Order: sequence, then structure tokens, then C-alpha cells
Amino acid sequence: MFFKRSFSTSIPKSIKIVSKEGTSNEISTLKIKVKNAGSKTGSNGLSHLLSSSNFLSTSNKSGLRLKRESELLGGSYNSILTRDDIILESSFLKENLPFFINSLSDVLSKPSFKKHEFNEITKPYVLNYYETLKNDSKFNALEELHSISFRKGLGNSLYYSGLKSISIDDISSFAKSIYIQSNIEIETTNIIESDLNNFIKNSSLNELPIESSIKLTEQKSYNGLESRIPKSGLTTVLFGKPIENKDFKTYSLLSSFLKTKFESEFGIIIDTKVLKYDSKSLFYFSTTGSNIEKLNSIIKSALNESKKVKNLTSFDKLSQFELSESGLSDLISIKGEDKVDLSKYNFVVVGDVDSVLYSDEL
Amino acid sequence: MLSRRLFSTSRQVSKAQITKLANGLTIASKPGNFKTSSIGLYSASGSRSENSFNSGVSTLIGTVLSESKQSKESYALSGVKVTSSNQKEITGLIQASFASGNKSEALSTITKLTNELDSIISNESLVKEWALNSSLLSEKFESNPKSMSIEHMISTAFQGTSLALPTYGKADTISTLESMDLKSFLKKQFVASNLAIVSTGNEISHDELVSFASKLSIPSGSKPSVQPFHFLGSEVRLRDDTLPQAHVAISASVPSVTSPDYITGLVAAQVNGSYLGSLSPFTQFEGSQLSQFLTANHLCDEYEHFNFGYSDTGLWGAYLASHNIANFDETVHFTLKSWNRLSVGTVTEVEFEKAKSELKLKLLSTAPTSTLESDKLAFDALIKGYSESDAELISLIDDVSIKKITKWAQTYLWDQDIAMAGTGQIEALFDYNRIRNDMSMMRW
Repeated sequence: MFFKRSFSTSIPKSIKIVSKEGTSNEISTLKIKVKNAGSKTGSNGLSHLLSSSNFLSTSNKSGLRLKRESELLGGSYNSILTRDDIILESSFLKENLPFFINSLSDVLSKPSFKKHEFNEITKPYVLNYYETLKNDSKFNALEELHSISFRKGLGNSLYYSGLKSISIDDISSFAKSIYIQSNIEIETTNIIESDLNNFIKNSSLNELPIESSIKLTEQKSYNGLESRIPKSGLTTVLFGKPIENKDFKTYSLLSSFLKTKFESEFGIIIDTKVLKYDSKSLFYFSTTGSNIEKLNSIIKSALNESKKVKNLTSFDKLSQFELSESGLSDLISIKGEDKVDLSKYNFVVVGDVDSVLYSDEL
Repeated sequence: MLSRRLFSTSRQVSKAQITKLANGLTIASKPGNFKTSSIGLYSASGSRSENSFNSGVSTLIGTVLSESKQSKESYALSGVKVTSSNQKEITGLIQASFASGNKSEALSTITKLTNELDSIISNESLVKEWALNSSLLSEKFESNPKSMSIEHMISTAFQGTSLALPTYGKADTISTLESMDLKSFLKKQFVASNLAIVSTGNEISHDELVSFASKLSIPSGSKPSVQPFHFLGSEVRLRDDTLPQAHVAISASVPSVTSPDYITGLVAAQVNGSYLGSLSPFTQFEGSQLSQFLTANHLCDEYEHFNFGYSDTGLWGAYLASHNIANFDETVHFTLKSWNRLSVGTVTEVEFEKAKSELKLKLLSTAPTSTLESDKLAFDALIKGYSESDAELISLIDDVSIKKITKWAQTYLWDQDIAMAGTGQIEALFDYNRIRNDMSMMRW
């Protein structure tokens, strides 16, 4: 039955397929990434609501039936939201590939967006999700860093906070505009490619529109700003800088260098990374804790060390390791330079804003 | 046609291989396309090999090694990250993870740390610094109600034996440990017959690993024994009204990982599986009868059924958490009533099929990182002595019938003593005897 050609005879050209070797013999994974569907697109929170409505009812199947069938087949699924994309993820016993291709395709091409599911499942889930994060000072500091570094687009809040009223119709029309073939990338592990291609040919992904009416605006970035948000609980202090993707490796080396100099210890959490997005990247160094004096001295010396560091390329091996660990191994071969420029940077404090130094005092 | 093609082109990517050297050293490896690969030195001595005066010593040895100057150098200059891990019966003393193409540095890191082991743990100030840090961390574990209730449930179940000691170690003993304690512990435990070299990922082949391991200077000696276990039905409670929820972990004594009944226990645990409550949008769709009942009646925030396996025993049960503190007695009562269903044979065929499929997915999936996968492989190699292939696991799970589960439940669950630990607002957690009575029922 799966071989019956129902509507198309070829894989849509605009859909990109990447197959990789897996880590398990019997388990396959299938990811459908919808590019440009993440929180950078649309108004604040819209993507989070859409992502959390995935895997509910479609015109073919109710959410209940999908869950029960997957349980019986030994499969699990999830919808993940990033700033760039919405990613439908599934892992399952390998013989069930056709079921999951069809299910994931239907999520994109035949969603029903039922009002009761929105009110009783999606909204409470999304608000609860935000509730678990809203007191996390590091999460808030990173949100603020994105907001001041990018304003719109990548600067949108990652999750729905409940402040804006968004209706089921907004979500439905948003889905129509971004669930399109040219946005879709499929990534699989432990799957035989010819089978995959066959199943995709016959899946409802073919029914998706090819091009979108939404035009992405160019991502702007802003540097040299400071933002301080008072909050109870732990304090996070961070400095960061929006950079072009061509400088990604250089700042990854800086982040690796800082990792060897500053380590988390009991009561102090240190984190430094370069977040890579489709259009820009964002470097940051953050420290979180309750001992403000210590936070001040760490952030001060981290900034000074970063400004005067030389021989960054000697951290290339460490940087390669860090990139592999975060699944960015495709970027390993890019060369980094020795020079970083932190004469201007963005500075964010969330927590005890009275006692943390201002950026011009560092 | 489809199945034939699947058959001919699929290949075994991740078959585990285990070898034993003449001096008793175990070598285990498993390929797989992990983001980073890892190689580690494991010992078959976790918290169970400790005593109440040196509790935490195995944790501390691993921590001191991964915080040593040598490890930091490897990290900064060669991109080899050294970590350690600890369980009840095994310890990951040195785990080196590395990116593709960096194999030789990882191997030399293991060699260097093994050769300089004695001088590293002789560094009094390093040991002292991490003894204090580890003791702070072990106190912090107590502030996570889930791991705390489970750890205390294990402690009360095996009270009086070394299996009761906390996995990470006791805060008040770790802080007092010195180089001398580490050395005397290692003198007994650091012998080839008690150690394994474990590697996961595509970077190091098994033969390469064997020849590397045979060059390591590891003293030979006889494998030290561990204290036998003893299960006692009992409970421990720490009522804490400052926590927002009530938490309890309840379990009964079941057979060890090497028993043929172990897989049966895993299937039984998967009948109700785990429950994420409002942390998953799909909670109300889940097929488990217990989760449906608890959702409909707002009786639970989170639960997890488990079948912990050790070399000679096991614990089967569940951890439950609820903000509905006044009705927590019902949460516990109906959970145990659903366990009764396993014994009286009223669990439906569909529920079993679901449990078996979900268990296949769980057991055949690899851990998210190569280091965690190494932990699993090291446990298999050191404690069980073998690692089932995927095909074996599938046939073992397929062999579990309703009849088998019913017999298993009647033997190990029906009217059996329980070990229980509760914390949070547990005013509605009934006394031991009331809950113990729920392990059976007056009607069949």
C-alpha cells in the first residue's frame, strides 16, 4: 500500500534530505526541520504556541489516536522550538518508518487546530512551561541579551509569556504561511535512503505549498548597550556581542579560552558559548550566583582577559571538541582568527542590580 | 520485497564486544556514530564497596582525578575532557571524551592519569579542596526531592548493609577524607580483575583497545568481594512543609540483573511507565490506566516506575510526586492497586503490548552521549559479564508473556514487604501498615 503512487512521483525538489549513520541498530530517528518557523518569525510567542500545537489532531487522526498508536508501535515524538526553526523529532523501532513519515508529514500538512485543544492543552502547557522558566535569572539574562542585540527577529522572546492575546486563527494562518516545502529539511539516522525517498514521495509533504508569501527581513544587530533588570533570587551578569557568522569560529575560540580560565564552582555557575543562528551569531560569557562581590570580580577579569588574549588559535582542539559536543561538527574545519574585538559589547544584569558594577566601571 | 532489502543493506553498527585479558582486566567496546567518542577506566567498586567511615571515597577519587592538573592540561591543550561518574556498584574513575581525530591524545591522557594515579591522590591540598566541595555537593543532592526520596528508599531497604550507603557519599564523611583513605581504598580495589577499559564511538577499534589496555601498568590481584545484601521492609520520612509537593518512593525486593526475571520486571514497570503531568502536552492521551486515572482526578504531578538492578538483588517500584497533598493517600493507594492488577491478571493484552514496545524503544536506544553509553556498557561488562545484542534483547522482551508477568508479580509484589521514603508535605501519606496492606487485596 505504501508503494501506491497517490499524488506525486518524485520527491519535491525543495525538500533537503540528510541521512546519517545512527548509534543504534534497531532504532531510527526522523527529524523534520521547518526552517524560519522559529520564534524569530511572527510576533512574540506565536511560534511557541504553534510548536506546542503540533502532534495534536490532524484531519486524518486525533491527537489521542496518534499517541496510542505510537505507544503500541514503540515510538516517541516531540516538537522542539528554537529561534530559527520548529523541529519535529521522532525515534522509533526501524520497521515503523512509514508510520512516522506519514504522521510527521500530516502534522505539517493537515493540522486541524481545534479550539478546545488550543484552550485545554496548548495554552495551559505553554503557560506552565514559561512559568517554570520565568524565575530563572540566567534564562532571563539571555533573553534580554537577544532582545538588546537584535531587537526584532532573533530578538523576539523565545517563548510565549501570556502577555499578548493570540487566537487559534492567528496560529492557523501562521502555520499556513511557514509550513511550506522550501522551508523543510529532513534529517534521519539509521534509515535506508531509497526506502525513505519512496515513503517521502508518497507522503502528504507533497501537498504543502512550495513557496511562502512571508519575506524575511534582514537581521540587524546592535552593540554597546546595557540593560539591568531587578529580580529576586540568584543574580546573572553577562557580557556578549552579536557577530557575523563568518566570525563564529573566532569567538568560539574565545569562548574555549574563557572555559579554561573560569570554571563553575560551588555556588557560582559559569557559562560561555557562541549561539549560532542562520543569519547572525551571538557570543556571551555569563556568571550566575548569589555572591555579588565574586560575580563582579569574575566578570571584570573575564572581560579583561578577553580583551588582551593572544594566541587564540592554540585552543583550536578544545574548540573542536566543544563544537562536536554541541552537534556543530560541520563547522570544525572553518578557520578562526587570533583577533577578537570587545571594545564594544552588550552588558546584561538580572537580579541584584544595585550591587553589580556598571559596564563602564569594569 | 521491502523486508528483503532492509535485511540485505542494514548492518550491525553497534555490537558490543567484551574481552578479558590474562591479568583479569576487562575490555569492552561499542561502536556508534556519537557526537564525541569516549574511552574510560572503570572499577567494579562504587558506593557499595565503601563503609560508613569512608563513604564517598570512590566519588572523591574520580573527582580528584578529573580535577587534577594533568586533566586540565588535556582539556585546554588537546580538547580531551576528563570526567568521572559514580553508581552503587561501579565507578567511572577516568572518562575521557574527545572529538573525531583526537584519539591518540585521549589514549595518552588515560595512560598518563593511570601512571600518575598515585602522585595525584597523594596531593593533600587537592584532595582536601575537593573533599570539601564534594561534601557541599552531596548536601545539595538532598535538596532534590526526587533523587533524595529514591536514595533514602534504597537506604532503608538495605539498611545495615553497604548497599544502603548513598551513591555519591555522605557529606559528613566525604569532608573528612584524606589522601591516606583514598590510597588504602585503591590498594584493595585498583587491581586488574576489578577494572575495565571501556570505549564507545567509532574512533577506537576493539583490537586497538585490547592492545592499548595490555600496555597499561595495572597491578594484578584478586577481585575484592562486596557485602551481601539484606532487604528489610521499612520506611523513612522527612516531613518538610516548606516544599510545595508531597514525594514518595515505594519499592519491593526483586531479582538481580542477571536473573531471567529481570526483563519481566522491566516490562512490568513499563506498563505504567512514567508520567510527566503538565510538563507534557500529551499527558491526557497516554494509554496507561494509572496515568489516565491520576490525570482525571488531579492526583499526581509526576511519577516514574523503575526496576533497579544490582549484581545480586533489585528494587521494583515507583516514585510519585503530587501537589494535591490532602489526597496523597489516594495517589499512593491507587498506584498500589494498579500494581495488584499485575498479580490478578487484569492487565489487558494491549497494555502489555504497549509496555513491550516502549521497553524495546527504551533499551535499544543509545544514551545521548558516548560517556553515558560507556557507563551502561561498563556495568554490563563488570557486573553482568556480558552485554546482550539487540536481537537478544528483542527476543527476551518478546518472550515475556502475560502468564510470566502474572507469575512474577505474584512472587515478588503480591503481599510483599515494601521499602518507602517520603519527603515534602506528607501529612496524608498513610502509616506503613496501611500502605503495606495495599500490596494485596481482599478480593481476587
